[in-house]
Amino acid sequence: MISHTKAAQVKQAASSRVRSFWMIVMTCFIVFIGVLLILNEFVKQPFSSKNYLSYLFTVIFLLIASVYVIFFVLSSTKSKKKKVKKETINASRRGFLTLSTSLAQTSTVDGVRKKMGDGIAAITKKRNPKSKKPIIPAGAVSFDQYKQLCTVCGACITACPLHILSPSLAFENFMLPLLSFDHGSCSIDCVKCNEVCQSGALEKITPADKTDIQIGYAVWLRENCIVIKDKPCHKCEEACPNVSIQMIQSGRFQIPIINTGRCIGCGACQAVCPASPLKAIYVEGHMEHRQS
Amino acid sequence: MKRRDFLKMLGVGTAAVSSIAYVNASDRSPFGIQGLISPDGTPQMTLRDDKMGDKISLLGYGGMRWPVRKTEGDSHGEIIDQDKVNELIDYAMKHGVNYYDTAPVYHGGQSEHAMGIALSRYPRDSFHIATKLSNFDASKWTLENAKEIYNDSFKQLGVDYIDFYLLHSVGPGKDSFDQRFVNNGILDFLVSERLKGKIKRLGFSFHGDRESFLHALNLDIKWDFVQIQLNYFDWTQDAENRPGASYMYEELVKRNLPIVVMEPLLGGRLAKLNDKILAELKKRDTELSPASWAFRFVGSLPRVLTTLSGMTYMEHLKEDISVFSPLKPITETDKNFLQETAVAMMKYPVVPCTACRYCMPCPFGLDIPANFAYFNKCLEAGNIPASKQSANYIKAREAFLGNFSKNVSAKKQSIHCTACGHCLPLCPQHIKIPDQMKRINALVQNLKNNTL
Repeated sequence: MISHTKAAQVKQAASSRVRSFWMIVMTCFIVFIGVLLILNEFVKQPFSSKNYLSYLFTVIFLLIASVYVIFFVLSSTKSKKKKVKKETINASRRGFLTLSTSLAQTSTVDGVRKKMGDGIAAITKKRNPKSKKPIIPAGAVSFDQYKQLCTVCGACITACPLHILSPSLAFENFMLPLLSFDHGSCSIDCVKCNEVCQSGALEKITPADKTDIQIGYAVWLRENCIVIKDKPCHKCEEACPNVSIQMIQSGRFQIPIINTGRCIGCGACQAVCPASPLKAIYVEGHMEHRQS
Repeated sequence: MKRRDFLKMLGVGTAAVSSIAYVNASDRSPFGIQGLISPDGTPQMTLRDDKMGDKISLLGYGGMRWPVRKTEGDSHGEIIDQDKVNELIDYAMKHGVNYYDTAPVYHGGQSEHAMGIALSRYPRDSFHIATKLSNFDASKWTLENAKEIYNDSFKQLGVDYIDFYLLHSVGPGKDSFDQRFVNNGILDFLVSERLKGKIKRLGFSFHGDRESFLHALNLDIKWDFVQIQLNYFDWTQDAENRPGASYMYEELVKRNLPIVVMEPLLGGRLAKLNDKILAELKKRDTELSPASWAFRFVGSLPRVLTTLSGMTYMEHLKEDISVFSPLKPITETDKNFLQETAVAMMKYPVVPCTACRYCMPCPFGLDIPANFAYFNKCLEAGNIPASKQSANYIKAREAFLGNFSKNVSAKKQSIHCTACGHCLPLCPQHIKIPDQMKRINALVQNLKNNTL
C-alpha cells in the first residue's frame, strides 16, 4: 500500500516535471515569435492599412505569450509552495534556453541582414533589389520547361566564364542553376552555357540569336539610387549594351528610365550599379522568354 | 539519444529555422499586387453597370493573343498552351475580370475551344462571354453557313447561352454590310435567337468608315452594345477609311449604347514606345508604364463598358489588373498631354499593323504581321537610314539586314509578295498590304545592294 502511494507520488512528480518542461518550451517559443514579429515590424514600413494584419498578429501573439507567462509563473509558485525549495540550478534547462536564444538571435540578425543589407537600410526604407522571379539563361524557352529538362549536372555553372550562374538554394528550385547579376552580367556574345548543356534545357543558340531574347527586364528603384542624393551617375546608361536605358531630367535630377520593350535582361546595369549596399537597378526574370 | 535531448534539439532547430524563414518571408511584388484584393477577399476591380443590370469588369480578357507552343515536327503549327491559359484565366477570375472575348477565327479556331475549357471550371453566372460571327469570306454569306458558325461557337465554348454576340468586323461600305448580314436574313435570325434567350446582348465590332457606321446604327434593330477601336492615338485622328474614335464615341453616347473598347494599346504599340516618346511619358510620371497611360485614357471615359486586352503573359495580366484595380481616372491636362503624345507619334511613318492576323494565312506563305512588326521596330529604333549619306548608314544597314532573317524566316519575307490582293479586304486597319510590302522589299534590296 505504502509502496503503491510512493510510486504514484514519483509518477506525479515526473509528470509535473514533464509538464513544466513543455511549459518552458512553449513559453520560450511564443515569446520568441513575438519578439521576431516586433523586430520585423520595425524593419518594415510604419503602420498602414496594408500591413495592419501583421500588427494584429503581433498583438495577438504578445497577448497569448503574456497569458502563458502569467499562467506559468502562477503554476510554478503554486508547486513551489508544496515542494521544498530547490537550491540546485537546472543546468539542462539553462543550457537549452541559452542555446536556443543565442541561435535564434544570430539567425534573426542574419535574416534581417540578408534581407535589408547592413542595417542602415531599415532606417532609410529602401527596397530590396531581389528578383521575385528566377532568371535563367537565354535559350531556355520558359522556366517550366527549364525546370523540367534540367538535370542539375552543373556543366553550365562550371562553363560560365563570368561566374554568374549558381545553384539555387530556394526549396522549390533546389540546386537549379539560376543567374544573378550582382557581380557580373551575362555577356551578349557568350553562349558557353548553351554549348555545354546536354539535357536540352538550354537550347543551342548563336550569339546573334541572343541579342534579342528577353530573359528579363531591368527595374529601377528610385529610393535606392544615388542620383536622388544629388550625386550625378549614369553608370547603368553607359553599361547597357542594348541602348535600353536613357537619362531624363526629372525635377532636379537626371534619372534613368528603362525601355522594357527593348531590355533583354542581361544585367549589365545591375552589375555596374554603384549604389551600396542595395543596388538601385536590378533584373526581374521573365517566366517565358520572348523576342524583343 | 534520449527523448529529452531529441526534443531539445528539435526546439532549437525549429526556432532558428523559423526565424530565418519569417524574416525573409515578406516581399513586395514589383507591381504592388498586394492591394488588388481587399482584406475581406473581394477584388477591387473597377466595375461598370451594364444596361441589363450586370456588373462588368472594366478590364476584359481578349482571346486573340494566347500563349502558344510549337507542335513537334511541324514547324508552322502552333497550338494554344492550355495549361497556361487555365493559369491566366484563374488569376483573372480571382481578381475580378468577368468579361471574356473570343471569336471563331482567333488562333485558327483554337481560341474558343481553349477558353471554353478554362471557363467551364467556373459557374456560368460568374463570367460573361463574348464571341462573334466571323463570316469574312464571301462564300460564307449564306444563312446556313452563318448558322453553322453560330452553332459551332456554342459547341466549342460549351455554353448554352452567349452573353455578348457580335457581328465580327463590320467594314467600310454599307453594301457589304447588307450583303453579309441583312439580305441573307442572318440578322433576323440572330434577333430571333436573342428573343429565345440564347443571345443575351447583340452588337457589332466596327472597323469601317462613317457611312457604314451610321448605316449599321440606324438600322431598325435594337443594338445592345457596340465594340469600337479606341485609344489615345486615334482619338481625334481620322485614319484612312476610319473615323476618329471620338466621333464614334459621341455617336454612341447619343444613342445611349454601352461601348466595348478593342485595341486600347493598338496591338501593343502603345506599350512599346520609342525612346523619345517614352522619355516624355516618364518625365510626366516616372512610376507609370506606357501601357497604364493608354488604359487609363480609355477607362476614364465614363461610357466605356469594358476594355479588351489580349494578355499573353502573366506579367501583362498582373500589370493590367493593377491599373484597373481600381482605376485612377486621368485629369483633363493629362488628356491633353496624351493628345500631344499622339501627334508626336504620328511623325514616325510606321505601318499601323496591330498583329491581329486576320490577313493570315497568306496564299504565298508570307508572314505579313512579322514583316510589319520588324519594319516598325527598326523604324522606331532609328535603324532605317534615309540614304547612303545618313550618319548611321553602316550601322543601321547592318542592324536591319542582320536581324531580318532571324525575325522573319526567308520564305516568309516581303520579297515573296505577288500583290495578289487576297489580304486587302481582310485588314481591319485598311493597310494597303501589297504597297507596304513593296516598300519594305525596296528597302531590303537597296540595303543589300548598297544602292540606297
